[in-house]
Amino acid sequence: MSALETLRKSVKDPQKIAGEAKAAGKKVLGYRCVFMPEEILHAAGIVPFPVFGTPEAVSLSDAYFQPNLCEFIRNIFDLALKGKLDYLDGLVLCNTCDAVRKLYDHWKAYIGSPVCYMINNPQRQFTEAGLKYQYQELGEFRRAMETFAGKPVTDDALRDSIRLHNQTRSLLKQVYDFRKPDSPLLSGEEAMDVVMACMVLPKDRANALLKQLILELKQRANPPPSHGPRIMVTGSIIDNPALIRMVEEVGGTVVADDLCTTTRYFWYSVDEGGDPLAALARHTTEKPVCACMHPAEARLEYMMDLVKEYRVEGIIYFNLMYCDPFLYEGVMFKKKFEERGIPTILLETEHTPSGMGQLKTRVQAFLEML
Amino acid sequence: MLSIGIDAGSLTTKAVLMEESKVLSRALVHSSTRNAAVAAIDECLAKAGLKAGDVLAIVATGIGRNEVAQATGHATEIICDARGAVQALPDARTVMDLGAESSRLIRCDSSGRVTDFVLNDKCAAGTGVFMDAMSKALRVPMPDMGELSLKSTQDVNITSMCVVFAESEVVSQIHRKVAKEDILSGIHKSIATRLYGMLNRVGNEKQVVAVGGLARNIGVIKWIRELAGTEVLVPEYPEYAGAVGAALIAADRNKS
Repeated sequence: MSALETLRKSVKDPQKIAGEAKAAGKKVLGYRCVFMPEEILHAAGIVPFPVFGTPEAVSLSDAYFQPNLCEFIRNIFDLALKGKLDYLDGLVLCNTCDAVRKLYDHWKAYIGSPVCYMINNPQRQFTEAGLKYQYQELGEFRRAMETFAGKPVTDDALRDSIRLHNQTRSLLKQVYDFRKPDSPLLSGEEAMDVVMACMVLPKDRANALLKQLILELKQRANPPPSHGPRIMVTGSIIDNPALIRMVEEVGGTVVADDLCTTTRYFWYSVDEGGDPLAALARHTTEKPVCACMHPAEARLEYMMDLVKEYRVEGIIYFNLMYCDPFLYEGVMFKKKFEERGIPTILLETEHTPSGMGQLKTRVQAFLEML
Repeated sequence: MLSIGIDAGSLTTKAVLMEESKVLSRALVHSSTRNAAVAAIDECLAKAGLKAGDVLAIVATGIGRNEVAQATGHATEIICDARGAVQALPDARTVMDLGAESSRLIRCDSSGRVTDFVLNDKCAAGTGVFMDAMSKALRVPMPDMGELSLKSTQDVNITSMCVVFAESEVVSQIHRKVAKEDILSGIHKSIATRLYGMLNRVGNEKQVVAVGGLARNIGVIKWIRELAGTEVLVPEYPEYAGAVGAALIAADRNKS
């Protein structure tokens, strides 16, 4: 099986990978958010496992959350209520939006697992005070994980862990380079599968597969079809490639993606010199990838870098209904992008794929317009 | 060069037969008719005394566009609306399509090329079916609603965006013996307010042109004019704008 196939297959059943780690006697902690420092868990010998939702409609969590609240959070809580996340020893969250904060409260009150942890992130980024705060906060998290793992997390172990994770980040960037040519060698759907696979797989395994994938892509004989405009997809969390596939089916060439399950995860690497905890703190406070963070200008700059690097011709926002941070930024960013000559469309989606026909018409018209 | 544009909408299916930029015939059938697209095309051909073999290109648009077997190509409603509106009124730069189940606000250039658009969310508020429900609640036939609303002497606010809730709001107004024309005016204002919001989002650029079946309703148009402070023009056959655009696109594609 090719590396691409192996990677894509591992996303189909991520629970299996967590199950294997568990069977090998490891502790597995679920987490949400690209701001969660995987390195600390890894250095403590704990397996960090990104929790994704399912395309299934929620049922049990309706007893706890109003239907006009974030469907992604309701979906995850639903999975937990149904016992489908029982293999996790707990959950680690980052303080980003209201929905996540309330998921924490509900998890603590009703799910009950050995660990339920909220890392606080200063939302105003790029400040010295914020950096100091983040350093303390991560220090506390490190101690909590040491207690939970029953072993110390040394600076050396952290440094090794940072190097390993940086390697994943830089290999993913190299894979993404194959999307830069006029005819990309990797489709948007494939790219998303690859990044999500690297999120769930043990990093040494992921890195080996990525190296092999790079060799495969260099001589890919049957690249995905691409003739439509070069599109960047952005917006709230998307953990199912169905939307990207739809854009590609109607003729868009998805060459870039600013999502929690893609570029936001690997774009910025961690400083490898000096105090490793300080490097991780700086990484979190200087990574302007999320609409929850402030100021918006930094995130806009980062997105414009993606636009330039991947020669994006149009941007599609897929915003989850009730996802305030991204819905608030949407219109302003659309105007900003259009001032810079990049047509942008704002679309509202649901986590459970529905109304695909209506979305398809909007995307098709947008592509016809470009 | 003969071409046909067919707009398979959610309520009605429209077809136009064109020779270059001249409309030879039009046909409108209910979309629930069996083989509505075939019926509309056949009617167009019969009216012009032509047969299917004479037409080189047929482009289908509208929600049912992919189900039109005769189509040689497809295009979205958004692209076709803009093209059709500019064909009818060359100064059109902002096109409002007031359809049965969707409202679209489109900005375009002088050639009818789309530069931006917004659509109503997945809800019938601000569309033809909303008006249909109100027509039933008030027992005023659809074609008379606009005219009657102009006779209103008092402001009534209908605030619900949901068809079902708006209906109960209207019923409670009826119980309170509010005059029908005042309620109607309030209904038209509520639709127009929603469209005015969309107009602001897409950018209110002159000339604003309204197309689609609901563009025939003077009550809605009056309120949009008032709210937006701008003239809103309606072409002679507003419901055919999408079909005309499709026919023009069919001819273009056949030439290139």
